Amino acid sequence: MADYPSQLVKHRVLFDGTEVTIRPICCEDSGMEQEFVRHLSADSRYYRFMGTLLELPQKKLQYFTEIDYDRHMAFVATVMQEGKEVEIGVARYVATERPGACEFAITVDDAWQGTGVAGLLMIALQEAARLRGFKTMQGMVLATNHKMLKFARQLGFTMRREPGEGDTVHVELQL
Amino acid sequence: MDTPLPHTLDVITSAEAGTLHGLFLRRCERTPDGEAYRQHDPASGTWKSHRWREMSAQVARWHASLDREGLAPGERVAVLLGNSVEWVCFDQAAQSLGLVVVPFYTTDNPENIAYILGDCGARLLLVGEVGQWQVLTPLRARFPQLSRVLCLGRPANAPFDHGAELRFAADWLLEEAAPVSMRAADPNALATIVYTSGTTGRPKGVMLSHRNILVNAEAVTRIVPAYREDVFLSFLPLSHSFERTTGYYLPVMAGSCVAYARSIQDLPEDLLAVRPTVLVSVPRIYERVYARLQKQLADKGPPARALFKWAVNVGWRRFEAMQRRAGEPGIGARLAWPLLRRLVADKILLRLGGRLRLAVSGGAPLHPGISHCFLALGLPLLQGYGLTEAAPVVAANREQDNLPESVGAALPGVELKIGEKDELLVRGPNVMLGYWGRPEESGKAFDAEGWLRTGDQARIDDRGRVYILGRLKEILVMSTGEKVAPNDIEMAITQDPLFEQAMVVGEGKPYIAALLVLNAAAWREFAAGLALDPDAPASLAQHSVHRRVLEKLHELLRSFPGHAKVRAVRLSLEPWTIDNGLITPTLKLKRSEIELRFATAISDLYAGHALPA
Repeated sequence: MADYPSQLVKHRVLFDGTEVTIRPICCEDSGMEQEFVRHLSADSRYYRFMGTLLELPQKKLQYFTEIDYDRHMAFVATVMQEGKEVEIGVARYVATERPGACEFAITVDDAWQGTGVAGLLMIALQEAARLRGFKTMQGMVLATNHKMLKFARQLGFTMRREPGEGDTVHVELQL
Repeated sequence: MDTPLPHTLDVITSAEAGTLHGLFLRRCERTPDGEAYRQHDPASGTWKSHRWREMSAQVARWHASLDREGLAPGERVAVLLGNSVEWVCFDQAAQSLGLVVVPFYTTDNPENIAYILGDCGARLLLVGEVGQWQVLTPLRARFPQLSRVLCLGRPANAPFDHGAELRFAADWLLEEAAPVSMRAADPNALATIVYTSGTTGRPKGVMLSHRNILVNAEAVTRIVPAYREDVFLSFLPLSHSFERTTGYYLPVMAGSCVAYARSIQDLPEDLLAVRPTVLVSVPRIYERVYARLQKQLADKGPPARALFKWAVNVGWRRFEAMQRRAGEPGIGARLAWPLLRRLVADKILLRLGGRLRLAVSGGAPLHPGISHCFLALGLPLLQGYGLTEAAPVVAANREQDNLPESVGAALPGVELKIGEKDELLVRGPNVMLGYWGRPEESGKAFDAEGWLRTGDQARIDDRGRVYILGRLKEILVMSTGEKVAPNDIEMAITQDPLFEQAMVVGEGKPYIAALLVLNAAAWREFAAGLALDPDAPASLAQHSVHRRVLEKLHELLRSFPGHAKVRAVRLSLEPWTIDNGLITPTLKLKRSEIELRFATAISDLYAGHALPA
């Protein structure tokens, strides 16, 4: 198993003053990650997976938490609630077949959307991707996911719609 | 073709009418001998006419009988009945007593009906047959406020033990009754609650006032006139606000006659028997006529197809010239048209009865290829746009300015604007009072300045014509105009361990279908239960398997509205994975890619429902 890149752990503050930890995910996080997915609203889960998932099946959970921090990287944002670390957001990239390109995905708990946590996660993710030699970061967003499209536009992603794919928008950023 | 009917314009304005019942009374006074309704009588096999005078007497009987129930104005009464003269009588009697009418789709499932009965606290329910009530009795505890059930049809055999609350209309209706007099009533009072399926969760009750509906019907008559000589053929359910306003109250307003079609299956025959001059419908019906036409052409051979294509080409150029969007067709086309019309167009229009002067489509987007075809053949097909929350018409094409790609300009009195994220916003006297018992959602339906959010994205051109671009919420709009949230349905399906992955389709289609990936272990058990070999690929295609799966889905989707029923499935044991390119590396389902990869399979799920390419 790959070594945990502890140098990437950062402590930050959200718009409202909440202290948040941005750190790479690890295999011990599987319980927390599952809780996070279960806690998402149906809409948020649908936007993230573009399909239906009530929770992550074991194999997918493993895929999400046991990563090599190189071809597959993920950062979680966590806060302390009643002495327990709780995940409020996660951003990840996974290398695609296209050389130098990776696909990203980001999800923030419904109650924490608009707090600035997504921006912090994306900064960490893009920085990590750049350092690992990726040139392009791409993603797929449902056309009705206006919050995400606006966010991606603010981050400088370009948008493209494929003919015959009415429901999805392809976004891309040169790192 | 016949000589055109005279066009007598005799519209009762919303101000004159005051209320929906006021409208009806004024109409009965104004043209007592005019034909109000035509309904098929199965006993004699003939169509029976009802004049306004007779309708007035019928409504008086229903009024007096309903009055004896002792309900207070504002209480809710529900109707679970197909379109019919009795539907009108019940509605008018209820309106005359200040009661609020809650209509149901006859195809809706018991769970949903029980929910709505409970949500609106209905006191009385009218059903067509005992069976419709029988399936509701196990759910009786969910609608405790109901105290009376009326049943229109009396069963031939001994009815089940139904208790004292059920009465048969034949016994309940008084033989004689004094005419109903006009009572002072508030036009802004609640007239009806129409339930619509939202994007998520339970259906919401849209509260419409008398004025909401009356001003909407009147505004429609101002851009698309209806005349006393018109005959409407009604087949879209009256529980749909589009039919209710434009296929029921509007003809009362104009003094036109409404004929109630027997069923969708009998429609081809009813069109010939009734010979309507106006059709109000959803795209589904035009698709059916179009599909039938295509099938007949396919059977006929190349010369007939070439002739048809020529007629549509020339006809379309004529239409564009009439709309002043193109110059006059050339001399060849002008000379050929009379012949093409006789050989092709008239024959097709004859199947619609031969007297149709207007066909209206709303409720869902109509495929432009279908509009082109009918417009070219000389059928004035007008597309409009609306939503239940706006009682329902918001915009419509005019005969003189008819662009199939657009849904037309705003109705008189309706304001439109484009808000954030291109959302179409509506304001006007037709916009609803709110959602029944849901103050929070009612608030969310409007922006700060009181504009109703439609949830649809649109563009408005310099002539005020509206083009629908997409929608803000993830929903499928079927060609029947009904909406479903794929999210909710997929979630409900994957609750069952047999279904590992699910994707539903149905945008612009007449029903919902599902692509399902089965769980390998659960499938073995399932196949064994049907005495099938789980390893034989043919097993997945077995009729018995599909039937059982559809039954299972029906059960899983029990609490969904009737139209959200999955009617066809494609089963597979091959999961959608990153390796086969149907999921992205970050585990997003590639919906478009799945649709593309399984395009043939999907089109098989809609075999016989093809649309123009």
